[in-house]
Parts: sequence; structure tokens; C-alpha cells
Amino acid sequence: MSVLVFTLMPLLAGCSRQLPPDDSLVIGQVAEPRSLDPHVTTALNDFRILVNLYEGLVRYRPGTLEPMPGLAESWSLSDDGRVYEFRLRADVQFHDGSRFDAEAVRFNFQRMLDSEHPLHDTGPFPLAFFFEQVQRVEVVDPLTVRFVLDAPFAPFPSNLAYPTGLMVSPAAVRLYGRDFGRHPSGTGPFRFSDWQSGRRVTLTRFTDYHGEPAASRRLIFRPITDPMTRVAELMAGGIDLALELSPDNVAAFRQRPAYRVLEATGPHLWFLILNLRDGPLADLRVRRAVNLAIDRQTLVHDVLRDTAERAFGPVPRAFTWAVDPELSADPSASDEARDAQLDQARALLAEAGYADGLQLRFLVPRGGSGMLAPLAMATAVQGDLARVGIDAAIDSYEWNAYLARVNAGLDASADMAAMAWMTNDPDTLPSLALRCDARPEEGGFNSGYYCNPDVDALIERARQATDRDQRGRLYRSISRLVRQDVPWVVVASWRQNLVTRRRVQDLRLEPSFFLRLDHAWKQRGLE
Amino acid sequence: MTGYIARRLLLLVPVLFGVTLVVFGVMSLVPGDPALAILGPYATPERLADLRLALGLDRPWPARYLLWLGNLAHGDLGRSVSLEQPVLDAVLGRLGPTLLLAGSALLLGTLLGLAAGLLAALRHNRITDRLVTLAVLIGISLPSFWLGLLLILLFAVWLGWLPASGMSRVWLAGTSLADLLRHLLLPTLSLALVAAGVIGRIARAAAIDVLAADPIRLCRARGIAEPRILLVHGLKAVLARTMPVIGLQAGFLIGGAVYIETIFQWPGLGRMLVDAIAARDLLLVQGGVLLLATAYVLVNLAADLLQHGLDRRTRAA
Amino acid sequence: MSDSSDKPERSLVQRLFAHSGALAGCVLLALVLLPALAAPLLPLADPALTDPAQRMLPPFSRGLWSSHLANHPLGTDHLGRDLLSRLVWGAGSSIAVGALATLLAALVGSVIGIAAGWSGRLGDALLMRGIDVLMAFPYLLLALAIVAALGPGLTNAMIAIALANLPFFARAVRGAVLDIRHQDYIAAARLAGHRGPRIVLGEVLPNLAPTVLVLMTTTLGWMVLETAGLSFLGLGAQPPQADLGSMLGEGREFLTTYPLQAVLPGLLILILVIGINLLGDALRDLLDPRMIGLEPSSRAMRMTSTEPHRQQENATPRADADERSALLSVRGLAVKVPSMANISSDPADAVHGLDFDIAPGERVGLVGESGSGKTLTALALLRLLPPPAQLRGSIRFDGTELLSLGNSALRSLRGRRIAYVPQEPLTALDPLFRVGRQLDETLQAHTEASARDRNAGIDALIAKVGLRRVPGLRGRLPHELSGGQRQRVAIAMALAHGPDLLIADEATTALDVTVQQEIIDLLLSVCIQDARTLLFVSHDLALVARLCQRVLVMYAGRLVEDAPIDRLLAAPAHPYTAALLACSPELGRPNKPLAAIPGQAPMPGQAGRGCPFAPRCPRAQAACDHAEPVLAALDQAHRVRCLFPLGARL
Repeated sequence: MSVLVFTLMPLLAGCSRQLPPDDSLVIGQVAEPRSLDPHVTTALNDFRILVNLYEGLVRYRPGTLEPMPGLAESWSLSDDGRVYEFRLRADVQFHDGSRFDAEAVRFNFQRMLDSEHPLHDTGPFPLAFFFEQVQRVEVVDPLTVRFVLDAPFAPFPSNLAYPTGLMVSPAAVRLYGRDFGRHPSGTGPFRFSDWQSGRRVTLTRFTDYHGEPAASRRLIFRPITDPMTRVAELMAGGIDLALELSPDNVAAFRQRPAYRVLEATGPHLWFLILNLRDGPLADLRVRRAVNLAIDRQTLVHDVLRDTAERAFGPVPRAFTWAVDPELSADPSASDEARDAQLDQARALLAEAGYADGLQLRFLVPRGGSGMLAPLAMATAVQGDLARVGIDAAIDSYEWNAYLARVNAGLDASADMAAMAWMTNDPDTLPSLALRCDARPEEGGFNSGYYCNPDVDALIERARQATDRDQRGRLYRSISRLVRQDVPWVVVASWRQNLVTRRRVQDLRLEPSFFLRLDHAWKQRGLE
Repeated sequence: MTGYIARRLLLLVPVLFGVTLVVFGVMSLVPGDPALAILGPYATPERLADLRLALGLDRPWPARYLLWLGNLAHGDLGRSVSLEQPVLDAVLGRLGPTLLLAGSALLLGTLLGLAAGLLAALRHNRITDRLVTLAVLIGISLPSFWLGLLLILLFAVWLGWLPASGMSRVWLAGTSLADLLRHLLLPTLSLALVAAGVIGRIARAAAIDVLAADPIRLCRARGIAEPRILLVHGLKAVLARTMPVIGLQAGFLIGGAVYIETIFQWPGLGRMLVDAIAARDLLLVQGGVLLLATAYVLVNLAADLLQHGLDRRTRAA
Repeated sequence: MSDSSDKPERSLVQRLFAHSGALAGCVLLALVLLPALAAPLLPLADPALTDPAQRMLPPFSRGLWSSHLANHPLGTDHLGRDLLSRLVWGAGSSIAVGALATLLAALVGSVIGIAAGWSGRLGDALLMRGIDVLMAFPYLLLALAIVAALGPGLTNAMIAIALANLPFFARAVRGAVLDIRHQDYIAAARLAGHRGPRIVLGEVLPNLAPTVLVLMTTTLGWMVLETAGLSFLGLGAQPPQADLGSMLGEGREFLTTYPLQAVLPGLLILILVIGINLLGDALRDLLDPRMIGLEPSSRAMRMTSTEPHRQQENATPRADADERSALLSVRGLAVKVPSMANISSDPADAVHGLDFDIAPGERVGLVGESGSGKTLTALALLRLLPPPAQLRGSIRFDGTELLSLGNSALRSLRGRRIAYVPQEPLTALDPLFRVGRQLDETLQAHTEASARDRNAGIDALIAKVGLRRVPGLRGRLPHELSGGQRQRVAIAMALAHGPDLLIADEATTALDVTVQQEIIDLLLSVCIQDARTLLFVSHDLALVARLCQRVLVMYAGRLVEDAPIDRLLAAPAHPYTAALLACSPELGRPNKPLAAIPGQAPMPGQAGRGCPFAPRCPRAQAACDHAEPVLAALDQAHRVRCLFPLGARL
């Protein structure tokens, strides 16, 4: 009996809620990071930690997706659009004390791109292809570095802002080799402190940071894979902010005054790849009918609880300069308009010879990065299609298996497949997935076998045009053409959400979904 | 005795061999591979091929199995592609929390189960017996994951008495015993109640038999006090009979606490391996399963030895 | 008089419904199962019909009679589907999958088990190592890996669970087959010329059925839980199909916003599995061969209670002056045990009104055949009978009325002043504790002596019972000693506190002949040496003759003769005693004709109004059936309960 009391006492002693100290921000993440080497990992989850540890030559202007100077003070582009010259910031050091200079920049890219580089085996570097146009990197002087490209490539600065372009400390890589991912060293406002597998990754304020010191002393990232546990921890006070909560929970938190919900629409698209090669969807009328039948409004509002926005074209709205505001308005706001759309869809189907109904096979993953709530959404789509007489049978797969299936190309056994992409430039998605020769057999992602040479030509021009307005016009044209052809039914763009307890201040969510926390701090006295 | 132990330990070898073969075989049937998991939407056949080559996934699985065996002889379990660290480090790092949770749940479950069994047998066919039997019944019928969720909701979210997840307060440098116990309480409870049910059932049946048997009657005839009869003679006999079930529960708790580890974010082996299967990280699965299977065999051996220690009449051969 | 054979054999189903646990289980199961089975017929909404605009509606939100309620009595889930409908259909899925998984595991596991148990050593070893591998594989991970390989879905989850559970069946079946294999009827079948497969199908399988059935009932609930678990992780039922586990998994996201969606499926799983387990337990109880043929309630009574008596028995006040000099004085002792045969009548007395005295230092034998009530009497004297038994009458020990003593007073007497030597020390001595420890414990029960003194005491006891020469005796466990050594230890424990009265209950029955003599000699010597009183219970008159001065003969729970040993042997008065003497073998008289007594002794409650021995008695007259004779004194030392005793004038 006494043993029982003795054991219970310390438990009951700490009976009040235990909250983290004011100087430490505890973040509830979606998963355990795979690696803290920015060139090795591809997960958004890991990026959120990385952007606090590292910086790149270029970064996104806050609130936008436009590149602005980062570790580079400025850059210039040659007339032929093939040579970028960057002027680097002086007096920047890595966390381990070594200097950041042009030599370091060169090291970073050589490691990734040059298979002869002695430390190339610290990879593999899955996203190195972002820089495959780079022919060579030249050190002009300690503070000047030059990139020579094979051909003009407008997305280049944007790619540099992506985590694959973050700068790592050559000294640290040399020291740790393959284990560098567990002993990261960058130039960012926070430095690496420890990583306990399955429990936490701790970053502490880097006192020798070249810019303004971070507002919080410590960042602690806790992997909490179960979404419900994340919610529970947030409500219990064990974490200060929680990422990627389910739409219903976000909606619930919006109602609670003790919490803040931050949202930002990102360069993300959730869409259905349609099989243009085999099956009923080869017929444009059927594709248009499917497009008309889907009720984006209900899906976004009711199923996703406004954690996404409606989307219509192949260029995400986050690229404000590349979208046509007119196109993104959906005329189906009212009920009558909606009914008219359904009628139109039925008419199209009848015209195509499917007046008695149509059966489609619909592939859906059960999870996956950026797929939002795939099964719920697919079920809603299924319901919408049923209203116009289309019976869409859902075939669900685990994420990995799904990718294997879909990226190999849709065949006669699959008519449509759900997919989601997050990009950092309007070029990426059309380039990878809409061009004629981006077929799966050629290494592309055009799983639906869409082909429109006009679109191809526009994509090529937009990729090379260096004037932003011109690029914008070209992308608007591409969007128009693609909307007419309906190779995809684009449904929504993710509004990433972040829920914090109200004590967290000065936090802002970027459209890029990278979570920079250097300005965030916690108000004393608030829960 | 040492011969017996040596023989059982030797049997470990073919069992582990078989287990690892099964893992390789089953995982080879699983569609998808780690390269896909890493590249995600960026995966093209070409890049996949490159990545697979770099990760050593291009060879057929029998060859990889032999390679793995060869490395095993040097104590090298390979490198995990999903965690980017040596498998041995990854697995050993999670072993501690798993053993802690399994051990606590087993201890608590055994204590509760034995107590319940003895109590029920003492008050056989009366109200206490019926209540205990009901409690045991609920224990073995409870979905542990459901219980865990409710416990978190009640104690962490609404009452705020206990932490919702994790093994310790992450903002502290180390951890104190009190902190650890507070984090351990809910997950242990979720697991222990089920274990207590299973053990309690057997303990009750054993206790009914034991307490009605001759030795207890002779103890009474000798004038030995009731408490001593119950707690020394009764308990030992019940424990001896319940030991095989306890051993089985231990084995199960070590590898089967996945739901609880998921819900409570307990950094254990079970959860790690579930994620490893999802990520198709074959080497990690292999290493983890190897460890768990070894633990299972050792635990059962320990249980058999303990049972023999309690009751020398049981076979030790 | 009634007999269990008079009642018609109750079928399993009838007995099932009489069992309270089974009834409860059936009710719970019916609660869940019936709607699930009737689902296609019930007016339920389509469980797969989504209506996102109607999502997460609570039950009863718009009044009882609104059409909303008619549509969604329990509300809707996060996709607008009717919750009640999904629960009902989901329950059906869960049960179906659990049952199929159990069936599959049982089938495949049994086949493997039979193959392993029936085949030769090599086959058995190989198969069992394979099973070991499966068992060593972390259970859940095996299921997960299988599902990952086969793809998700309820069918594949079922296969995975079945595969992961078949080792249990395989092992159990193999064990059972090994047992069955050595049974006589298998040998008989072989001799009859039947071949292996026919034997397996004809003899082995039917006998295996109860084991497998019991195992299935044990694991069914578990399988349902495990399937739910896999679905909870998202690997079981795929949308729009539902089972309770996947509903729980889907619903857990809404635990803080709309708890009903998560709580209800969990509750339903709980009810379902409790029902299954209750039913399974009941089935198991009813299939237990030891219990077949007994009514459930009498079975409950028959199971001995484990608790010592707390109440005081009914003591009859005495007026007799005779017993003042006796050490033990018994009057009207009756023991009532619940009858096994007939529960509608009152339990009958197994021991009827015993009257006898034992003087200090006297050695008295208590003889009778099995069922005569002599062991019950011996246990009753120490009040060691468990609660279903009731005692009446009076037992005076050294002036103290035992039947009115409380527990602590009783405890103080037992072992210290009245000691007991059991019949079978192999089971009576605690097999888990060493002899030295048990002796020490016996000493500690009634003294506060120091360890050293106790040690000396143990040595003395060991010497006293003649075990001094046995090396390492104290460190041995009971099963490591011979029968005779064990009995000597038991006697040593009985003598530990120098008791006034020693009750030896068939103390030599389990020993072989030469050892029996040794023990008798030992008992004789310790009693004579210390002028100890002895009550020696036995069915062997020859042994009693050697040891005792006086004999009490019991028949059908009654004392029928009480005489000094010489008189009994030379001139028995009761016909039963004479018959006993006639049929006991005598050492040294190999050609003595043994006359068996025709008929059988009556069971408690079976005897009629007259003398219980009358049906078998060669001297019985009509008068013997009218009334039971009383115990009358033939002379000062000899009493007999007979109307026409031997040697008396008719």
C-alpha cells in the first residue's frame, strides 16, 4: 500500500498542466525527419526544419513566391540568359565557424551534380535534377560566383530558393560524410542542438547570425504522426503549434479564442489525371462533362472545411503574376447555375453516346504528401459523378504502391487518378506533366498521355523568357488552352494551415509552406 | 540445466534464420520500394533506376539476403534508407522505450491479474467474484487503441493532469523519474488492462483449483495462518501455473504495442517498424524484426525457466 | 429416490440456455448480431451514400418527429453518411471477418497440427520449427507485412490475421493429437486393420473437435479485435465499405469535435466481443468432459469453495456425564453435503449422528469401505470441510466444544493439539516448497522460537520419524522423496507441536505393503512413547489390528459397531463387520476364501427407513426394514447397531 502511494505522489504532484517555457517554441510536426541534409531529403516535413537551419543564395520574398536576395546580395543575368553571376554577402559564417564564400557555394553544387566529386556518395540527391541545366559553377572571387547554364532557364532563381538550393557547410560534410544529415551545419538563424529519434529535434539560437538574432531561444520539433494526438497535445498545452491538422479540427479551432489559425494558399494543385489514350475519357465531351459535374464549392467548403481553395487551371493561383484572375472565378456560385452545369454535363454525355450511364475506374491513394483528404474527396467526387450518371468505382492504394502505379502511366484499367503537386515555379508542373514527350516511358509525368503541340511550344518559350510579364502572359495562354482540352480536372489548391496557441506571436505562414520561425516568440503570461 | 539453456539458445538460430527469410520474402512481395518513397511525385523511371542503384536495390532479393547475412556476421545490419542512419543505431535507439513500456505494462498487468484472480477465487461464486470476472471480461474485450484515445481525452485534454503523448517533456534537457512515470502512466494503463484481463482469467481458474487442493487443506490442518496460506502457498502455485501466459503476453507486448505507440507517440520499435514497412525500408524492417524475434524467444525462455524455478516438477528439457 | 439417468439427456442448446453467462452473452450478441444480419431487410439508409452538406449532424437535433430524425436517428458522419446504418452494416462486417478469420486459422492450423502430431519425428520437427518461426515473428508486424504484400481490404486483413494466429491452433491441435494417438481406441482401430487416413478421419477428428471448438471460441473475440485494429490503422476495410474498426479509425480525427462518431463504434466492438467471450466461456464450461451430465447449478455447488468456515456450526448442548474423562467426545455428529444426484430434494446427510468417545492415550481405528463417510468424519473433526458441507452435533475436545469455536481459536488448535496426517502426501505436501522449509513453517505456525531453536526442533523431528540418515532431506522437494519418506515427513509435521490427538486419514493407503508396515510401526511407536491419542482411519482391517486398541466400524455414514480389536476380530457382532472380515485377505493365509459382499452400499440420501445394510445382510428380517436400529451396548465395551447381532440370541 505504501509503495502505491509513494509511486503515485510524484504523479499527482505535477497535476497541473505542464507547459513549455516561454523561450522555447515547441512545434508538433507530422513525421520524424528523414535527414537534415537539404540536398538529400525531399519531404516538406523536413523542409520546415531546414529553412531555419540553412539559407540559400536566394529566398522567397515574404508573403510571395518571388525570389529575392538571400545569401547573395544581388545577381545579374547575361544577355543570352545563360550566365548568372551572384555577389555574395560578406561576413557570413556557418554554425561550425567556417566561412561562407564562393568556394563553399561551388562545393554545394559540385557535390550534388558532379558524380566525380569525392563527396558525391554522401547522397543520393533525388532533386538534383532541379539544377541539371547548370553546366558549371565558377568562383570569380571569394564573394562572387558564376553559374553557366546550358540554355536559358527562367525558373533557375526560383529553384535556388527551394531547399535543394540551401547552402551546407563544406567543412561539416567533409567531417561527417554520410552522417552529415544528423550533424547539420548551415548559416541560418538557428543552429542544430540535438536529435533524439522519434522524440525531438532541437535547434538553438545562433548568436553569430549575420542578420537579426532569432526571437526565441530554442525551437523544438516533435514528430507526432497521429493527427489526433497532435490535436490533443495542442489542447493539452504540450506543443505551441501544430501543423497539418484535419479540416474539421481546423474549423473547430477557428471557433476557439485560445487559439490562432494561420492559413496560406500555396502553389499546390489537387487534380484528377484523365486517361486520354484509352477509355471513354479519350472523348473531349466526356472529359468536359466530368469537369462540369464536380462540385468544387461543396468539396472545398464541406469536405475540406475551407482548408483549400477552388482551383481551375494548371497554374496555381499562388503565382499571382501568372494567372488570369478572370479564369479563376467560377461562375457556378448559385444553385441554378449549378443545375445548369449538371444539365450541360448530361447533355454532353448523351451526345457522346453515354446517355445510359458510364462506368469509370478511379484510382485514389490513401494518403500521401499533399493529397489532403484523398479518400474523402474521392468519395465526394464519386457522389458528384453519380448525379450525372457516371459510376466511378474507387480503387485505393497505399501511397507508395499508388505512385508506382500511376507514374507508370494510366492504361486501359484506369480512367482517372487523383494527384497533387506542390511546385515553386509555374513552369515545373506543365513542363513535367503536360508536354507531349513528357510521357512516362520517357521519364516524364504525363500519365494521361495528353498532347497539344501548341501548349508545348508555349511552355518552351515561357521557360526561356526572362521577362516576368512576358512569362506571365505565356502562362495565361497555356492555362486557357489547357482548360479547353481538359486533360486534367483541376479541383483545389491547398491552404496550408497552422494552429497555434494564442501566446505565440509574430508568426506568419508563407505560400511556399516553408516555416521560418526566426521572428516568432511567446507572450509571457498567456497560455 | 545449462544444457537445457544452451539447447534453447541454439534453437534461436534456425528460428531467426527462418524469421529473416520470411521478412525478405514477404517484403519482396510488397509493391513499391524505398526509391519511390523518397522521390515521391518526382519519381521517373530513370531517376528511380538511378536511385535504386545508389541504394543497392537493383539486385534480386536472394542475392541481397545473402549479402545481408554476410554483413550480419560482422555485426553490420546495413543502412536505413528512410531514416538515413545505420540500422543498428536506429533499432537500438528505440529498444529502450519499447522495453520500458512493455515491462511496465507487463508488471502492472501481472500484478492486477494475479490480484484479481486470487480475490475472485477467495470469494468464489460471490459478488466479488462476479465483479472481478466482469472486470476481467471487459479487460480482454477492450480495444486497447480505443481505450488509449479515451484516456488521452479525459486525462490530458479535459483534466490536464497528465501529458498527452511522448516519453518526457521535450523542453527539458534530460528527464526525471517523476516526469517519466507521468508520461508512462497512460500508455501503460492502456496496455496493462488488456494484459491484466488475459492473465487474470488464467489466474482465477488456477487459483480456484489451487485453493481447493490438498496442499492448502494440509496447511490449514497444520494451523498456518490464512494470510500466509494465501500469499505464500497460494500465490506461488498460481504464479507457477500462470507463467506461460505471462511469457506469451510479454512476447506480445514487445512487438504488439503498435497501436499504443502510435496514439501516444511513444518512440518504440513497433511504430518504427510500421513506418518502415510503409516506406519499404527493407533493411530496417529486417533489423527490427530480428531484434524483436530474439527478444520474443528469450522472453519465453525466461518464462519457462522462471516457471521451472517456481515448480521444479515442470519439464526443463 | 431419483437418479440422473431418469432425466432425458438435455441437449447442448438447452444446457446453454440454462447457463447464466451464456444467456448474457447471447443477449449481448443478439443486440449486435441480429440487426447486422437483418441489415438488408431493415429500413436503413444507404451506408455509402455521401452527402457532404449533411455532415456531422447530431442525433435528435431537430425533435423526435422531424423527418431529419427519421432519416438519421444517430446523426451522420463526416461525409454525411447515416451513422446508424453504418454501425449496423459495419458490425456485420466485423463479425463476418472475425468469424471467417477464426475458421480459416482453425482449419489451416488444425491441418498442420494433425500433420505434425500424426507424422514421424522428422515431419513433426520440421513443421513445428516452421510454426515457431511464425510465432517468433512479432504478431502485428506479420499481419502488417502480409497486408502490405496483398494490398489493403477486409479480405486481405482477414487472411493476414488468420495467418498470424494459426500457430496457436497448430500447437494446440498437435498437442491434442499426440495425446489421442496414445489412447487405446487408436490402437484398437489399428488392430482392426484401419489405415492411417481412415483412423485420422474416423477416430482422431471427432475427438479433436471439442479442443478445436474451445480454442475457436477463445480466439474469436480476439480476432474481431485484431481486425478492428488493422482497420484502425487504415489497412482493413476500404471506403465505402465499413467495419467497426475503420469507423473508429476515421472517427478518431473528430474525437474532440464530434466524439459520437468515434465512441459508438468502440462501444459496439466492446459489446460484441464481450458477448462472444461470454458465449465462448459458457461453451467451454459445457464441453468440459468433467462437467457433462451435471446440472449447472449443482455443478456450482459441487465445486468446492476455497474459503474456510467462518460461521460456527450447530452445536448440540450436552448433558452426558460420561465424556468428562474422554479426550475426544462426539455426539450426534452429522455432515450434510449437497447431493449430486438430485437437486430438487434437500441435500442428504453423508454422516448420520455419530456418537463415540476416545480416551486419552487410546488408539482407535475407524474402518469402513469407500463412501462410508469415514474421511468426512476425520475432516469434520478438524472442521476442514469447505462451506457447502454443513455440520451438526457436538464435538468436544478436552472439554471445548469445537463446533462453536471461531476461526482463530480453531487455528490455534489445529496442528498444535489436534494434528492431521494426510492420505497422499505427494499431493498434500506443497510440491513447490522444500521439505525443510515446510517443517520450519509448521513450527513457526505455533511458536515464536528463534531460528536456531527451530532448527534444532526440525532435527529432532527428523530423527523422531527415522529420517536422520537421508542426506540433504531438508533441501529436497516432496516429489524427490519416496512414498514412505514423504509420509514420514508428513508425520513429522503432524508431531511438530506434540499434539494430544493425531488423526491419520488413510495414512498408508497410497504406500506399498512393506512401507505400510514401517509407517504403522512408526505411528505405533510415537503414540506409545508420548502417550498420544490416535484416530486411525482405514479400510484395511489388518493394519488397524496391528495398530489400534479399539475399532469403530462405519457403514453408509453410520457407526455400526464399536468394539475392542480382539473382540471385533474374534467375535464381531454386526453382520457387516463379519462380512468385512471374511473378505479381507490375511497375510499368511493364502488360501483363505474371499467372499465378496453382494450389492452396493447406499449413497447419501438413498437409504430408506430401515437398517441401511438390510438389503445386503444375510441375517435380515422383516423388522429390519421398518426402523433403523439404535446403537446399543452389548456390554461395557462393545456397542452395535443391529436388531439381530451375531452371537446374540435371536
